[in-house]
Amino acid sequence: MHVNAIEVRNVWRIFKSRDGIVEALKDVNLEVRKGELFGLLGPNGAGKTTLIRILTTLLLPTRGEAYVLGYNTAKEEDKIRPLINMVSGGEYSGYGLLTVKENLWMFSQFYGIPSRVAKGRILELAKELKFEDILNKKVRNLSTGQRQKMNIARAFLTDPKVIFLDEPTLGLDVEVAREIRSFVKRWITEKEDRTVVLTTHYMHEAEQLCDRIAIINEGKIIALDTAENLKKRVSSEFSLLLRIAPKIDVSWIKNIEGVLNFISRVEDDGLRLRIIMEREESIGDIVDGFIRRGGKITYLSKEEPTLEDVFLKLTGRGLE
Amino acid sequence: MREHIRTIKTAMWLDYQITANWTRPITFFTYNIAKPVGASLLLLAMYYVVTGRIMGTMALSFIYVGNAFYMILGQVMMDLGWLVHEDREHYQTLKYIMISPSSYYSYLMGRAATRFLLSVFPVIFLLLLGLLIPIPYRFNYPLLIFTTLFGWIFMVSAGLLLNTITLLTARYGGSIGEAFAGLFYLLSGVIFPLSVLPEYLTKFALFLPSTYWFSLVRRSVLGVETDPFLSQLSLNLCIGLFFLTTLCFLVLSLAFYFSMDYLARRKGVLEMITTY
Ligand SMILES: Nc1ncnc2c1ncn2[C@@H]1O[C@H](COP(=O)(O)OP(=O)(O)OP(=O)(O)O)[C@@H](O)[C@H]1O
Ligand SMILES: [Mg+2]
Repeated sequence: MHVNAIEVRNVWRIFKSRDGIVEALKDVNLEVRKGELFGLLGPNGAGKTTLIRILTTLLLPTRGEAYVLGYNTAKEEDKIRPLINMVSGGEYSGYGLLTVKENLWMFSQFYGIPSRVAKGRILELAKELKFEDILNKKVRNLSTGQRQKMNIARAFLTDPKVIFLDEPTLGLDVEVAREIRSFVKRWITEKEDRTVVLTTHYMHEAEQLCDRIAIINEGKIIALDTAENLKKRVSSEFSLLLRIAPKIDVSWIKNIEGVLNFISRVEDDGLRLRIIMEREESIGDIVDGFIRRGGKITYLSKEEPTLEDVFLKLTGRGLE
Repeated sequence: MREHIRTIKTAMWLDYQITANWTRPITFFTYNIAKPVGASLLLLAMYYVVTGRIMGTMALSFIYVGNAFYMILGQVMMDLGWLVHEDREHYQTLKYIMISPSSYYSYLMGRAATRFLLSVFPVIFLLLLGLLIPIPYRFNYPLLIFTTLFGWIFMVSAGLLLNTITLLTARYGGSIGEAFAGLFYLLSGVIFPLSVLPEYLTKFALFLPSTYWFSLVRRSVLGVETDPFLSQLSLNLCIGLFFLTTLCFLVLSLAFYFSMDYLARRKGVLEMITTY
Protein backbone atom coordinates (compact mmCIF):
# COMPACT_ATOMS: atom_id res chain seq x y z
CA MET A 1 0.00 0.00 0.00
CA HIS A 2 1.18 3.47 -0.77
CA VAL A 3 1.67 5.59 2.32
CA ASN A 4 2.60 9.23 2.34
CA ALA A 5 5.42 10.34 4.60
CA ILE A 6 3.15 13.00 5.99
CA GLU A 7 -0.52 13.78 5.81
CA VAL A 8 -2.12 16.71 7.52
CA ARG A 9 -5.90 16.89 7.47
CA ASN A 10 -7.84 19.95 8.53
CA VAL A 11 -5.48 20.69 11.37
CA TRP A 12 -6.21 23.59 13.66
CA ARG A 13 -4.14 24.60 16.61
CA ILE A 14 -5.40 27.18 19.00
CA PHE A 15 -3.38 28.45 21.94
CA LYS A 16 -5.12 30.05 24.87
CA SER A 17 -2.97 32.17 27.07
CA ARG A 18 -3.27 35.15 29.34
CA ASP A 19 -2.69 37.43 26.38
CA GLY A 20 -5.66 35.99 24.56
CA ILE A 21 -6.35 33.38 21.95
CA VAL A 22 -3.94 32.65 19.10
CA GLU A 23 -4.97 30.61 16.11
CA ALA A 24 -1.55 29.30 15.17
CA LEU A 25 -2.82 26.90 12.50
CA LYS A 26 -6.07 27.32 10.63
CA ASP A 27 -7.31 24.34 8.71
CA VAL A 28 -3.98 23.16 7.37
CA ASN A 29 -3.98 20.39 4.78
CA LEU A 30 -0.95 18.91 3.10
CA GLU A 31 0.74 15.77 1.93
CA VAL A 32 4.41 15.03 1.74
CA ARG A 33 5.53 12.08 -0.34
CA LYS A 34 8.25 9.69 0.71
CA GLY A 35 11.60 10.75 -0.61
CA GLU A 36 10.67 14.38 -0.79
CA LEU A 37 12.59 17.31 0.58
CA PHE A 38 9.65 19.42 1.53
CA GLY A 39 9.83 23.06 2.58
CA LEU A 40 7.59 25.18 4.74
CA LEU A 41 8.31 28.79 3.96
CA GLY A 42 6.81 31.58 6.00
CA PRO A 43 7.56 34.65 8.09
CA ASN A 44 7.86 34.82 11.88
CA GLY A 45 4.77 33.58 13.67
CA ALA A 46 3.35 31.90 10.57
CA GLY A 47 2.86 28.61 12.40
CA LYS A 48 5.80 26.61 11.05
CA THR A 49 7.10 25.46 14.41
CA THR A 50 3.60 24.68 15.60
CA LEU A 51 3.10 22.33 12.66
CA ILE A 52 6.47 20.68 13.28
CA ARG A 53 5.61 20.20 16.95
CA ILE A 54 2.39 18.47 15.99
CA LEU A 55 4.15 16.22 13.48
CA THR A 56 6.88 15.30 15.97
CA THR A 57 4.26 14.24 18.56
CA LEU A 58 5.12 17.05 20.98
CA LEU A 59 1.81 18.82 20.60
CA LEU A 60 -1.74 17.72 19.95
CA PRO A 61 -3.80 19.47 17.29
CA THR A 62 -6.87 21.25 18.59
CA ARG A 63 -8.85 19.86 15.67
CA GLY A 64 -8.02 17.64 12.73
CA GLU A 65 -5.46 14.88 12.35
CA ALA A 66 -1.91 14.48 11.25
CA TYR A 67 -0.19 11.30 10.12
CA VAL A 68 3.48 10.46 9.86
CA LEU A 69 4.20 7.36 7.77
CA GLY A 70 0.56 6.42 8.20
CA TYR A 71 0.48 6.73 11.99
CA ASN A 72 -1.69 9.21 13.82
CA THR A 73 0.51 11.71 15.64
CA ALA A 74 -1.93 12.09 18.51
CA LYS A 75 -2.52 8.43 19.24
CA GLU A 76 0.31 6.38 17.81
CA GLU A 77 3.31 8.35 18.97
CA ASP A 78 5.03 5.11 20.01
CA LYS A 79 5.03 3.97 16.39
CA ILE A 80 6.23 7.30 15.07
CA ARG A 81 9.01 8.13 17.50
CA PRO A 82 11.51 5.45 16.43
CA LEU A 83 11.17 6.62 12.82
CA ILE A 84 11.69 10.35 13.14
CA ASN A 85 14.03 12.94 14.53
CA MET A 86 14.21 16.69 14.70
CA VAL A 87 16.55 19.66 14.86
CA SER A 88 15.56 23.20 15.78
CA GLY A 89 17.71 26.15 14.94
CA GLY A 90 18.50 29.11 17.12
CA GLU A 91 18.63 27.26 20.43
CA TYR A 92 21.32 25.92 22.73
CA SER A 93 20.37 22.33 23.25
CA GLY A 94 22.78 19.91 24.90
CA TYR A 95 24.38 19.02 28.23
CA GLY A 96 27.22 21.48 28.69
CA LEU A 97 29.24 19.19 30.93
CA LEU A 98 29.37 16.37 28.44
CA THR A 99 31.67 16.27 25.48
CA VAL A 100 30.22 16.36 21.99
CA LYS A 101 30.91 12.66 21.60
CA GLU A 102 29.24 11.82 24.93
CA ASN A 103 26.19 13.90 24.12
CA LEU A 104 25.73 12.18 20.80
CA TRP A 105 26.36 8.76 22.23
CA MET A 106 23.79 9.36 24.95
CA PHE A 107 21.06 10.25 22.48
CA SER A 108 21.90 7.20 20.38
CA GLN A 109 21.24 5.12 23.48
CA PHE A 110 17.74 6.53 23.79
CA TYR A 111 17.17 5.03 20.35
CA GLY A 112 18.65 1.69 21.27
CA ILE A 113 21.52 1.87 18.80
CA PRO A 114 24.28 -0.55 19.83
CA SER A 115 27.14 1.41 21.32
CA ARG A 116 29.72 0.32 18.77
CA VAL A 117 27.49 1.16 15.83
CA ALA A 118 26.71 4.54 17.35
CA LYS A 119 30.36 5.39 17.85
CA GLY A 120 31.10 4.53 14.25
CA ARG A 121 28.29 6.72 13.00
CA ILE A 122 29.36 9.59 15.21
CA LEU A 123 32.79 9.53 13.58
CA GLU A 124 31.31 9.37 10.10
CA LEU A 125 28.97 12.27 10.75
CA ALA A 126 31.76 14.29 12.31
CA LYS A 127 33.79 13.77 9.17
CA GLU A 128 30.93 14.68 6.85
CA LEU A 129 29.90 17.75 8.80
CA LYS A 130 33.52 18.69 9.52
CA PHE A 131 33.50 18.75 13.29
CA GLU A 132 35.98 16.00 14.09
CA ASP A 133 38.12 18.54 15.89
CA ILE A 134 35.51 19.19 18.58
CA LEU A 135 34.42 15.62 19.37
CA ASN A 136 36.16 15.70 22.73
CA LYS A 137 35.30 19.26 23.54
CA LYS A 138 32.76 20.04 26.26
CA VAL A 139 29.47 21.20 24.82
CA ARG A 140 29.43 24.36 26.90
CA ASN A 141 32.58 25.57 25.15
CA LEU A 142 31.18 25.30 21.63
CA SER A 143 30.44 28.16 19.28
CA THR A 144 26.92 28.53 17.90
CA GLY A 145 27.88 26.89 14.62
CA GLN A 146 29.65 23.98 16.30
CA ARG A 147 26.70 23.40 18.57
CA GLN A 148 24.33 23.33 15.63
CA LYS A 149 26.52 20.84 13.80
CA MET A 150 26.41 18.62 16.85
CA ASN A 151 22.63 18.90 16.94
CA ILE A 152 22.33 18.07 13.27
CA ALA A 153 24.46 15.01 13.93
CA ARG A 154 22.29 14.10 16.93
CA ALA A 155 19.24 13.91 14.71
CA PHE A 156 20.80 12.15 11.71
CA LEU A 157 22.65 9.69 13.94
CA THR A 158 19.47 7.68 14.50
CA ASP A 159 18.97 7.20 10.75
CA PRO A 160 15.38 8.48 10.76
CA LYS A 161 12.92 7.84 7.98
CA VAL A 162 11.52 11.34 8.32
CA ILE A 163 13.55 14.21 9.67
CA PHE A 164 12.19 17.57 10.69
CA LEU A 165 14.49 20.56 10.43
CA ASP A 166 12.99 23.68 11.96
CA GLU A 167 14.99 26.63 10.67
CA PRO A 168 18.20 24.61 10.90
CA THR A 169 20.45 27.40 9.69
CA LEU A 170 18.98 30.19 11.80
CA GLY A 171 21.65 32.52 13.08
CA LEU A 172 24.54 30.61 11.54
CA ASP A 173 27.28 32.15 9.47
CA VAL A 174 27.21 31.63 5.71
CA GLU A 175 29.88 28.97 5.68
CA VAL A 176 28.30 26.68 8.29
CA ALA A 177 24.84 27.20 6.81
CA ARG A 178 26.13 26.10 3.43
CA GLU A 179 27.81 23.00 4.89
CA ILE A 180 24.59 22.01 6.59
CA ARG A 181 22.51 22.59 3.48
CA SER A 182 24.74 20.50 1.28
CA PHE A 183 24.83 17.77 3.91
CA VAL A 184 21.03 17.60 3.96
CA LYS A 185 20.92 17.49 0.19
CA ARG A 186 23.40 14.63 0.08
CA TRP A 187 21.64 12.73 2.82
CA ILE A 188 18.29 12.64 1.11
CA THR A 189 19.69 11.47 -2.21
CA GLU A 190 21.61 8.61 -0.60
CA LYS A 191 18.53 6.47 0.04
CA GLU A 192 15.11 6.49 -1.55
CA ASP A 193 12.87 6.28 1.47
CA ARG A 194 14.26 9.27 3.32
CA THR A 195 12.07 12.32 3.76
CA VAL A 196 12.97 15.79 5.00
CA VAL A 197 10.59 18.48 6.18
CA LEU A 198 12.36 21.78 6.48
CA THR A 199 11.03 25.09 7.68
CA THR A 200 12.71 28.33 6.87
CA HIS A 201 12.10 31.95 6.29
CA TYR A 202 15.07 32.21 3.94
CA MET A 203 13.64 31.95 0.47
CA HIS A 204 16.99 31.03 -1.05
CA GLU A 205 17.24 28.09 1.27
CA ALA A 206 13.78 26.89 0.30
CA GLU A 207 14.45 27.44 -3.37
CA GLN A 208 17.83 25.78 -3.36
CA LEU A 209 16.91 22.71 -1.32
CA CYS A 210 13.27 21.85 -1.62
CA ASP A 211 11.45 19.69 -4.13
CA ARG A 212 8.18 21.33 -3.18
CA ILE A 213 7.38 24.30 -1.01
CA ALA A 214 4.34 25.20 1.01
CA ILE A 215 4.03 28.90 1.68
CA ILE A 216 2.47 29.48 5.05
CA ASN A 217 1.20 32.73 6.46
CA GLU A 218 -0.83 33.45 9.59
CA GLY A 219 -1.58 29.78 10.12
CA LYS A 220 -2.75 29.08 6.57
CA ILE A 221 -1.08 27.38 3.64
CA ILE A 222 -1.55 29.85 0.86
CA ALA A 223 0.36 28.09 -1.90
CA LEU A 224 2.00 24.72 -2.44
CA ASP A 225 4.10 23.76 -5.41
CA THR A 226 7.63 23.43 -6.75
CA ALA A 227 9.73 26.57 -6.59
CA GLU A 228 9.61 26.78 -10.35
CA ASN A 229 5.83 26.59 -10.55
CA LEU A 230 5.41 29.02 -7.71
CA LYS A 231 7.54 31.52 -9.56
CA LYS A 232 5.46 31.03 -12.69
CA ARG A 233 2.62 32.64 -10.78
CA VAL A 234 4.54 35.84 -11.04
CA SER A 235 6.20 35.24 -14.39
CA SER A 236 4.41 38.11 -16.08
CA GLU A 237 5.57 40.28 -13.24
CA PHE A 238 8.80 41.77 -12.06
CA SER A 239 9.95 43.55 -8.98
CA LEU A 240 11.35 46.98 -8.63
CA LEU A 241 13.82 47.74 -5.86
CA LEU A 242 14.20 51.35 -4.82
CA ARG A 243 15.96 53.41 -2.22
CA ILE A 244 14.67 56.85 -1.61
CA ALA A 245 15.39 59.67 0.80
CA PRO A 246 13.99 61.28 2.86
CA LYS A 247 11.14 59.28 4.35
CA ILE A 248 8.01 60.32 2.56
CA ASP A 249 4.50 59.01 2.25
CA VAL A 250 4.36 56.01 -0.12
CA SER A 251 0.72 54.96 0.13
CA TRP A 252 -0.01 56.46 -3.30
CA ILE A 253 2.08 53.72 -4.98
CA LYS A 254 -0.67 51.16 -4.81
CA ASN A 255 -2.94 53.39 -6.87
CA ILE A 256 -0.59 53.29 -9.82
CA GLU A 257 -1.78 51.02 -12.57
CA GLY A 258 0.20 47.79 -12.78
CA VAL A 259 1.34 47.77 -9.16
CA LEU A 260 0.26 44.54 -7.47
CA ASN A 261 1.74 44.98 -4.06
CA PHE A 262 4.68 46.57 -2.30
CA ILE A 263 6.59 46.65 0.97
CA SER A 264 8.67 49.45 2.37
CA ARG A 265 11.27 49.37 5.11
CA VAL A 266 12.78 52.27 6.93
CA GLU A 267 16.48 52.46 6.33
CA ASP A 268 18.87 55.09 7.71
CA ASP A 269 17.32 58.40 6.72
CA GLY A 270 15.16 57.03 3.93
CA LEU A 271 13.15 54.06 2.73
CA ARG A 272 13.82 50.82 0.92
CA LEU A 273 10.99 49.63 -1.28
CA ARG A 274 10.17 46.43 -3.07
CA ILE A 275 7.35 46.84 -5.52
CA ILE A 276 5.87 43.95 -7.42
CA MET A 277 4.26 45.08 -10.66
CA GLU A 278 3.34 43.97 -14.15
CA ARG A 279 3.55 46.96 -16.51
CA GLU A 280 6.95 48.24 -17.41
CA GLU A 281 5.40 51.48 -18.59
CA SER A 282 4.42 52.22 -15.00
CA ILE A 283 8.02 52.49 -13.81
CA GLY A 284 8.03 56.04 -15.13
CA ASP A 285 4.90 56.90 -13.14
CA ILE A 286 6.54 55.67 -9.95
CA VAL A 287 9.74 57.61 -10.53
CA ASP A 288 7.62 60.62 -11.37
CA GLY A 289 5.55 60.25 -8.23
CA PHE A 290 8.63 60.31 -6.01
CA ILE A 291 10.13 63.33 -7.67
CA ARG A 292 6.89 65.28 -7.42
CA ARG A 293 6.74 64.52 -3.69
CA GLY A 294 10.27 65.69 -3.10
CA GLY A 295 11.91 62.26 -2.77
CA LYS A 296 15.35 61.55 -4.16
CA ILE A 297 15.88 58.14 -5.73
CA THR A 298 19.31 56.81 -4.75
CA TYR A 299 18.98 53.32 -6.13
CA LEU A 300 16.74 51.58 -8.62
CA SER A 301 16.80 48.12 -10.13
CA LYS A 302 14.42 45.83 -11.91
CA GLU A 303 14.60 42.16 -10.96
CA GLU A 304 13.30 38.79 -12.03
CA PRO A 305 10.58 37.53 -9.70
CA THR A 306 11.65 35.42 -6.72
CA LEU A 307 9.76 33.35 -4.19
CA GLU A 308 9.64 36.44 -2.06
CA ASP A 309 7.60 38.11 -4.77
CA VAL A 310 5.17 35.22 -4.79
CA PHE A 311 4.79 35.72 -1.10
CA LEU A 312 4.49 39.44 -1.47
CA LYS A 313 1.88 39.13 -4.16
CA LEU A 314 -0.16 36.71 -2.08
CA THR A 315 0.05 38.40 1.28
CA GLY A 316 1.20 41.96 0.82
CA ARG A 317 4.10 41.47 3.22
CA GLY A 318 7.73 40.49 3.15
CA LEU A 319 9.25 37.26 4.40
CA GLU A 320 11.89 38.47 6.79
CA MET B 1 11.94 -4.36 29.32
CA ARG B 2 15.45 -4.36 27.91
CA GLU B 3 14.80 -0.95 26.42
CA HIS B 4 13.67 0.38 29.77
CA ILE B 5 16.76 -0.90 31.50
CA ARG B 6 18.97 0.61 28.82
CA THR B 7 17.22 3.95 29.18
CA ILE B 8 17.53 3.82 32.95
CA LYS B 9 21.22 2.99 32.67
CA THR B 10 21.85 5.81 30.23
CA ALA B 11 19.97 8.29 32.40
CA MET B 12 21.93 7.13 35.45
CA TRP B 13 25.13 7.66 33.55
CA LEU B 14 24.01 11.12 32.47
CA ASP B 15 23.03 12.11 35.97
CA TYR B 16 26.36 10.94 37.30
CA GLN B 17 28.17 13.02 34.69
CA ILE B 18 26.11 16.07 35.57
CA THR B 19 26.05 15.73 39.33
CA ALA B 20 29.38 14.23 40.14
CA ASN B 21 31.60 15.44 37.35
CA TRP B 22 30.98 19.10 37.75
CA THR B 23 34.19 19.58 39.68
CA ARG B 24 37.01 17.44 40.94
CA PRO B 25 35.91 14.47 43.07
CA ILE B 26 37.37 16.10 46.18
CA THR B 27 35.14 19.10 45.83
CA PHE B 28 32.21 16.84 45.15
CA PHE B 29 32.73 14.85 48.32
CA THR B 30 33.29 17.92 50.41
CA TYR B 31 30.01 19.25 49.15
CA ASN B 32 28.29 15.95 49.75
CA ILE B 33 29.77 15.35 53.19
CA ALA B 34 30.23 18.85 54.55
CA LYS B 35 26.69 19.96 53.90
CA PRO B 36 24.91 17.10 55.68
CA VAL B 37 27.39 17.09 58.54
CA GLY B 38 26.83 20.79 59.04
CA ALA B 39 23.08 20.27 59.13
CA SER B 40 23.43 17.45 61.63
CA LEU B 41 25.71 19.40 63.93
CA LEU B 42 23.21 22.23 63.90
CA LEU B 43 20.50 19.84 64.94
CA LEU B 44 22.65 18.47 67.74
CA ALA B 45 23.36 21.99 68.96
CA MET B 46 19.67 22.79 68.98
CA TYR B 47 18.97 19.62 70.87
CA TYR B 48 21.59 20.57 73.42
CA VAL B 49 20.12 24.05 73.88
CA VAL B 50 16.65 22.65 74.42
CA THR B 51 17.49 19.72 76.70
CA GLY B 52 20.81 20.77 78.19
CA ARG B 53 22.20 17.32 77.57
CA ILE B 54 23.98 15.69 74.72
CA MET B 55 24.86 12.20 75.87
CA GLY B 56 23.24 9.21 74.20
CA THR B 57 19.61 9.24 75.10
CA MET B 58 17.02 7.47 73.03
CA ALA B 59 15.44 10.77 71.99
CA LEU B 60 18.75 11.96 70.62
CA SER B 61 19.23 8.71 68.73
CA PHE B 62 15.75 9.10 67.30
CA ILE B 63 16.58 12.54 65.99
CA TYR B 64 20.05 11.71 64.83
CA VAL B 65 19.14 8.64 62.81
CA GLY B 66 15.96 10.20 61.42
CA ASN B 67 17.86 13.25 60.35
CA ALA B 68 20.68 11.25 58.77
CA PHE B 69 18.32 9.24 56.61
CA TYR B 70 16.26 12.28 55.81
CA MET B 71 19.35 13.49 53.93
CA ILE B 72 18.51 10.95 51.26
CA LEU B 73 14.85 11.81 50.99
CA GLY B 74 15.32 15.56 51.18
CA GLN B 75 18.16 15.59 48.67
CA VAL B 76 16.36 13.39 46.17
CA MET B 77 13.17 15.47 46.35
CA MET B 78 14.93 18.81 46.05
CA ASP B 79 17.09 17.66 43.14
CA LEU B 80 14.25 16.07 41.28
CA GLY B 81 12.15 19.18 41.63
CA TRP B 82 14.53 20.91 39.29
CA LEU B 83 15.10 18.11 36.87
CA VAL B 84 12.33 18.60 34.32
CA HIS B 85 12.74 22.32 34.53
CA GLU B 86 16.46 22.10 33.78
CA ASP B 87 16.06 19.66 30.94
CA ARG B 88 13.40 21.80 29.38
CA GLU B 89 14.76 25.29 29.82
CA HIS B 90 18.43 25.13 30.64
CA TYR B 91 19.74 22.22 28.61
CA GLN B 92 16.81 22.36 26.17
CA THR B 93 16.94 18.62 25.73
CA LEU B 94 13.53 17.66 27.07
CA LYS B 95 11.79 17.67 23.71
CA TYR B 96 14.52 15.58 22.10
CA ILE B 97 14.30 12.99 24.85
CA MET B 98 10.50 13.08 24.61
CA ILE B 99 10.44 12.36 20.89
CA SER B 100 12.87 9.47 21.25
CA PRO B 101 11.43 5.96 21.50
CA SER B 102 12.60 5.78 25.12
CA SER B 103 10.07 6.22 27.85
CA TYR B 104 10.57 9.49 29.66
CA TYR B 105 9.35 7.72 32.77
CA SER B 106 12.30 5.33 32.59
CA TYR B 107 14.61 8.23 31.97
CA LEU B 108 13.40 9.94 35.14
CA MET B 109 13.79 6.69 37.07
CA GLY B 110 17.42 6.54 36.02
CA ARG B 111 18.08 10.12 36.93
CA ALA B 112 16.43 9.60 40.32
CA ALA B 113 18.44 6.44 40.91
CA THR B 114 21.77 8.22 40.65
CA ARG B 115 20.62 10.98 42.94
CA PHE B 116 19.55 8.32 45.40
CA LEU B 117 22.83 6.44 45.26
CA LEU B 118 24.89 9.57 45.61
CA SER B 119 22.96 10.71 48.64
CA VAL B 120 23.62 7.41 50.41
CA PHE B 121 27.28 8.39 50.93
CA PRO B 122 26.62 11.22 53.36
CA VAL B 123 24.34 8.94 55.36
CA ILE B 124 27.08 6.35 55.76
CA PHE B 125 29.37 9.11 56.88
CA LEU B 126 26.83 10.45 59.38
CA LEU B 127 26.29 6.97 60.79
CA LEU B 128 30.02 6.60 61.36
CA LEU B 129 30.13 10.00 63.00
CA GLY B 130 27.29 8.87 65.25
CA LEU B 131 29.67 6.39 66.88
CA LEU B 132 31.38 9.34 68.55
CA ILE B 133 28.26 10.68 70.27
CA PRO B 134 27.66 7.76 70.87
CA ILE B 135 24.47 6.51 69.29
CA PRO B 136 23.60 3.03 70.55
CA TYR B 137 23.46 1.22 67.21
CA ARG B 138 22.00 -2.24 66.97
CA PHE B 139 22.04 -2.92 63.26
CA ASN B 140 19.76 -5.41 61.61
CA TYR B 141 21.55 -5.63 58.28
CA PRO B 142 19.04 -7.63 56.23
CA LEU B 143 16.30 -5.23 57.32
CA LEU B 144 18.49 -2.25 56.58
CA ILE B 145 19.22 -3.48 53.07
CA PHE B 146 15.55 -4.18 52.42
CA THR B 147 14.57 -0.78 53.79
CA THR B 148 17.12 1.01 51.68
CA LEU B 149 16.15 -0.79 48.48
CA PHE B 150 12.46 -0.22 48.92
CA GLY B 151 13.16 3.30 49.98
CA TRP B 152 14.59 3.74 46.52
CA ILE B 153 11.36 2.59 44.90
CA PHE B 154 9.36 4.88 47.14
CA MET B 155 11.56 7.88 46.46
CA VAL B 156 11.63 7.26 42.76
CA SER B 157 7.85 7.19 42.63
CA ALA B 158 7.58 10.26 44.82
CA GLY B 159 10.16 11.94 42.60
CA LEU B 160 8.21 11.01 39.50
CA LEU B 161 5.01 12.36 40.96
CA LEU B 162 6.90 15.53 41.60
CA ASN B 163 8.30 15.64 38.10
CA THR B 164 5.04 15.07 36.38
CA ILE B 165 3.69 18.08 38.24
CA THR B 166 6.65 20.20 37.19
CA LEU B 167 6.09 19.00 33.63
CA LEU B 168 2.96 21.10 33.57
CA THR B 169 4.17 24.12 35.48
CA ALA B 170 6.46 26.68 34.05
CA ARG B 171 8.09 28.04 37.14
CA TYR B 172 8.23 26.91 40.75
CA GLY B 173 9.80 23.59 39.71
CA GLY B 174 12.28 23.72 42.57
CA SER B 175 9.81 25.00 45.09
CA ILE B 176 7.54 22.04 44.46
CA GLY B 177 10.47 19.81 45.32
CA GLU B 178 11.09 21.71 48.52
CA ALA B 179 7.41 21.50 49.40
CA PHE B 180 7.53 17.72 48.94
CA ALA B 181 10.67 17.50 51.04
CA GLY B 182 9.13 19.68 53.75
CA LEU B 183 5.96 17.65 53.80
CA PHE B 184 7.85 14.43 54.38
CA TYR B 185 10.03 16.11 56.99
CA LEU B 186 7.09 17.28 59.06
CA LEU B 187 4.72 14.41 58.66
CA SER B 188 6.85 11.30 58.70
CA GLY B 189 8.31 11.34 62.16
CA VAL B 190 11.77 12.36 61.09
CA ILE B 191 12.82 14.31 64.15
CA PHE B 192 9.76 14.25 66.35
CA PRO B 193 7.24 11.48 67.05
CA LEU B 194 4.03 11.36 65.07
CA SER B 195 2.00 11.66 68.25
CA VAL B 196 2.92 15.31 68.69
CA LEU B 197 1.05 16.10 65.46
CA PRO B 198 -2.63 17.04 65.52
CA GLU B 199 -4.73 13.95 65.10
CA TYR B 200 -5.82 14.60 61.50
CA LEU B 201 -2.20 15.03 60.44
CA THR B 202 -1.23 11.81 62.16
CA LYS B 203 -3.94 10.08 60.17
CA PHE B 204 -2.67 11.65 56.98
CA ALA B 205 0.85 10.52 57.85
CA LEU B 206 -0.35 6.94 57.95
CA PHE B 207 -0.88 7.09 54.20
CA LEU B 208 2.67 8.18 53.50
CA PRO B 209 5.24 5.48 52.76
CA SER B 210 7.86 7.72 54.34
CA THR B 211 6.28 7.24 57.77
CA TYR B 212 6.92 3.51 57.64
CA TRP B 213 10.24 3.98 55.97
CA PHE B 214 11.60 6.04 58.85
CA SER B 215 10.14 3.57 61.29
CA LEU B 216 11.92 0.73 59.49
CA VAL B 217 15.09 2.78 59.42
CA ARG B 218 15.02 3.16 63.20
CA ARG B 219 14.18 -0.48 63.69
CA SER B 220 17.06 -1.59 61.50
CA VAL B 221 19.63 0.87 62.83
CA LEU B 222 18.70 1.24 66.49
CA GLY B 223 17.00 -2.13 66.90
CA VAL B 224 13.95 -0.49 68.45
CA GLU B 225 11.18 1.87 67.46
CA THR B 226 10.87 4.67 70.00
CA ASP B 227 7.99 6.49 68.40
CA PRO B 228 5.16 5.75 70.86
CA PHE B 229 2.59 5.48 68.12
CA LEU B 230 4.51 3.48 65.53
CA SER B 231 6.05 1.15 68.08
CA GLN B 232 2.60 -0.38 68.44
CA LEU B 233 3.01 -1.84 64.96
CA SER B 234 4.78 -5.16 64.71
CA LEU B 235 7.76 -5.30 62.40
CA ASN B 236 5.88 -7.41 59.89
CA LEU B 237 2.93 -5.05 59.87
CA CYS B 238 5.24 -2.13 59.41
CA ILE B 239 6.95 -3.83 56.46
CA GLY B 240 3.56 -4.74 55.03
CA LEU B 241 2.24 -1.21 55.31
CA PHE B 242 5.40 0.19 53.81
CA PHE B 243 5.08 -2.23 50.93
CA LEU B 244 1.44 -1.37 50.37
CA THR B 245 1.76 2.40 50.56
CA THR B 246 4.82 2.32 48.29
CA LEU B 247 2.89 0.30 45.75
CA CYS B 248 0.04 2.81 45.90
CA PHE B 249 2.51 5.63 45.41
CA LEU B 250 4.04 3.89 42.42
CA VAL B 251 0.65 3.28 40.79
CA LEU B 252 -0.41 6.81 41.56
CA SER B 253 2.74 8.24 40.05
CA LEU B 254 2.31 6.16 36.89
CA ALA B 255 -1.32 7.22 36.54
CA PHE B 256 -0.30 10.80 37.11
CA TYR B 257 2.50 10.52 34.63
CA PHE B 258 0.32 9.32 31.78
CA SER B 259 -2.36 11.93 32.33
CA MET B 260 0.24 14.67 32.67
CA ASP B 261 2.01 13.51 29.53
CA TYR B 262 -1.27 13.88 27.67
CA LEU B 263 -2.02 17.24 29.24
CA ALA B 264 1.46 18.51 28.50
CA ARG B 265 1.03 17.63 24.84
CA ARG B 266 -2.35 19.26 24.76
CA LYS B 267 -1.18 22.44 26.40
CA GLY B 268 2.10 22.48 24.53
CA VAL B 269 4.47 22.90 27.46
CA LEU B 270 7.14 20.38 26.52
CA GLU B 271 9.45 23.00 25.09
CA MET B 272 8.34 26.01 27.03
CA ILE B 273 11.01 28.54 27.87
CA THR B 274 10.19 30.93 30.67
CA THR B 275 12.88 33.53 30.63
CA TYR B 276 14.18 33.74 34.15
N1 LIG C 1 2.65 27.79 23.69
C1 LIG C 1 2.11 28.84 23.06
N2 LIG C 1 1.22 29.64 23.68
C2 LIG C 1 0.66 30.69 23.04
N3 LIG C 1 0.92 31.04 21.77
C3 LIG C 1 1.79 30.29 21.08
C4 LIG C 1 2.44 29.17 21.68
N4 LIG C 1 3.26 28.61 20.76
C5 LIG C 1 3.14 29.37 19.64
N5 LIG C 1 2.25 30.38 19.83
C6 LIG C 1 1.85 31.37 18.83
O1 LIG C 1 1.46 30.72 17.64
C7 LIG C 1 1.87 31.46 16.50
C8 LIG C 1 2.69 30.62 15.58
O2 LIG C 1 3.92 30.35 16.19
P1 LIG C 1 5.05 29.44 15.55
O3 LIG C 1 6.12 29.31 16.55
O4 LIG C 1 4.45 28.21 15.02
O5 LIG C 1 5.54 30.34 14.34
P2 LIG C 1 6.79 30.13 13.37
O6 LIG C 1 6.27 30.13 12.00
O7 LIG C 1 7.58 28.96 13.80
O8 LIG C 1 7.58 31.47 13.60
P3 LIG C 1 9.16 31.73 13.77
O9 LIG C 1 9.68 31.99 12.43
O10 LIG C 1 9.18 32.94 14.63
O11 LIG C 1 9.75 30.55 14.44
C9 LIG C 1 2.60 32.68 17.02
O12 LIG C 1 1.70 33.76 17.03
C10 LIG C 1 2.97 32.29 18.44
O13 LIG C 1 3.02 33.42 19.26
MG1 LIG D 1 9.52 28.71 14.50
